[in-house]
Amino acid sequence: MLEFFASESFMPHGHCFLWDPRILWLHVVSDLGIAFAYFAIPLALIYFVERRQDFPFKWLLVLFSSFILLCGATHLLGVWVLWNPDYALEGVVKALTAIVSIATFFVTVKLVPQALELVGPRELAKVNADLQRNIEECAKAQGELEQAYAAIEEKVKERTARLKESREEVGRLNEDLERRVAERTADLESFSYSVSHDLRTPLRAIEGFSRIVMEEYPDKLDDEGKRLLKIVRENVSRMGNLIDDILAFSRAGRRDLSMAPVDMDSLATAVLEELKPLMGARDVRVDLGGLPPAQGDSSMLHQVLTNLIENAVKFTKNKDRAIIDISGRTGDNENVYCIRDNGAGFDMRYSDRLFGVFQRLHGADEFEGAGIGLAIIKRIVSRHRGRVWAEGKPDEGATFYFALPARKEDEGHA
Amino acid sequence: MPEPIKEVEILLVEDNPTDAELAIRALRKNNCSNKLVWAKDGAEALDFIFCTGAYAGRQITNPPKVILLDLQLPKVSGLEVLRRIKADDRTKMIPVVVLTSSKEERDIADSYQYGVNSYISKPVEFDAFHKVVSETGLYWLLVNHPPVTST
Repeated sequence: MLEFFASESFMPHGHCFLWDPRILWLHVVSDLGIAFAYFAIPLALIYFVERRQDFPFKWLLVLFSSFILLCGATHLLGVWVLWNPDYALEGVVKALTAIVSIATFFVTVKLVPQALELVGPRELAKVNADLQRNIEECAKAQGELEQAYAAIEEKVKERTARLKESREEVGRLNEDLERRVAERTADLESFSYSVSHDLRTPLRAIEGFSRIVMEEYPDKLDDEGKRLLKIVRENVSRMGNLIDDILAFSRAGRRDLSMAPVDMDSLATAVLEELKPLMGARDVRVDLGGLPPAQGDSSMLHQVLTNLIENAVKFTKNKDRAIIDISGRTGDNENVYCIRDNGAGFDMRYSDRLFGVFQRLHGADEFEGAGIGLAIIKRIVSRHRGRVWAEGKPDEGATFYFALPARKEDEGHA
Repeated sequence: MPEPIKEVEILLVEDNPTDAELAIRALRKNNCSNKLVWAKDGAEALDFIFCTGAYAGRQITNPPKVILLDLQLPKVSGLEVLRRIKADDRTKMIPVVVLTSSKEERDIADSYQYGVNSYISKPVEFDAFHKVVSETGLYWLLVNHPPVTST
């Protein structure tokens, strides 16, 4: 028996293979080839899974690999059983293979819809191409942006340089202006000095010598001569007052304002006290009260009230009973002060001329004055960012108003 | 030609003839103008004080009781006249009163720096001017004791 099996003429399953060894070896070689392929494929799959950690159906591939591996094993056993009758083992391996294959089938069927959802390579290629185009477009856009940015930067540099130049120019102009203002101020100072001294020196001589003539030649002058000399001296005095007024007007525009809260009621009371000698024995009724406090230069506002009240006293001198009313009211943006009298008044047609320099609405023989008091008031009030105006009627009286900006609580001492 | 006054009490240095006359008249009120010499510029004032030129015949040992000096003067300025008087031992004791229109601090400081005895701004009003000048004369001639009593 052993000899039979060992003899060269023995052929396993000779009956099945029609005793043709070529068929036997065809099976053996094919099964071994399949087995080799079935063992190699899972290796390739495992390599793939290793490299592509993000692959979504990893565990399916594992199942697939086992199924193929088992298939390889059945083919290997197919060759084995040709010479060794281990059909039980082959059956068990085949059964295992069947189980794993069927499981793989079910799982695959179940996963097909999901797999269909996956983007296919062609689509991917298209998406890729789109992306590539997008990237190219982005790159182009970025290039354009960079160019635009460079152009803007160039422009900014240019503008900055021009701005710097302009600033320097403004600075130069400013310096120039300041120098010229300083020069003008110095000119004005020396002009004022010259007005107050050089113009007064001849006046002193006229006044002095007129008086000397009066005192030393009283018997040689008749009444007419004395009257004429008196006129000379009166005009000298008027000229002196004019010079004072011009200087006061000049000072009102030039002197720095020293701003502080001012109690206008007590300021007006003080002014009235100072003007008492001017009223003399006349019957003057003064109503004063309710002046809102102001924010301003106390001595300048003192001048404003003095000029206005002095005017009121002066222009009521022909009334039997003078009434001067000094009042005020508080407003949102400005406080208004008002000095009303029942004096000579004025024609509203000329109201715009009231506040001009050397403007007089009455004859010099009627009421004394150079016509500069109201101009000074206007200048001072304007410098306080306020305004002045007046109402009047001939022979019925005049009302002078001035308004100063209301002091804002949060502005402090601005 | 200056009048030959032997004993001069006041030297008035003033270029403006009107002001000079008003000043002299104001001084006359208190009889202070009898022995007065009027110099019309700084050079003439120096000639008088140092006995040169037209005043060469004067004795420097016989100084005026007071010099009333204007500052704005032709030829030699008032400040220069003052400086020369106070820099010379023979004349530095003479009282010098600056009588000027200037109220400039610089002029006041310079005058005192040179040793002025008094600095008076001319009042611009006639009455005040008259009063100030006559009182100044009265004070320096009658009230004040001069440093040297020459006989």
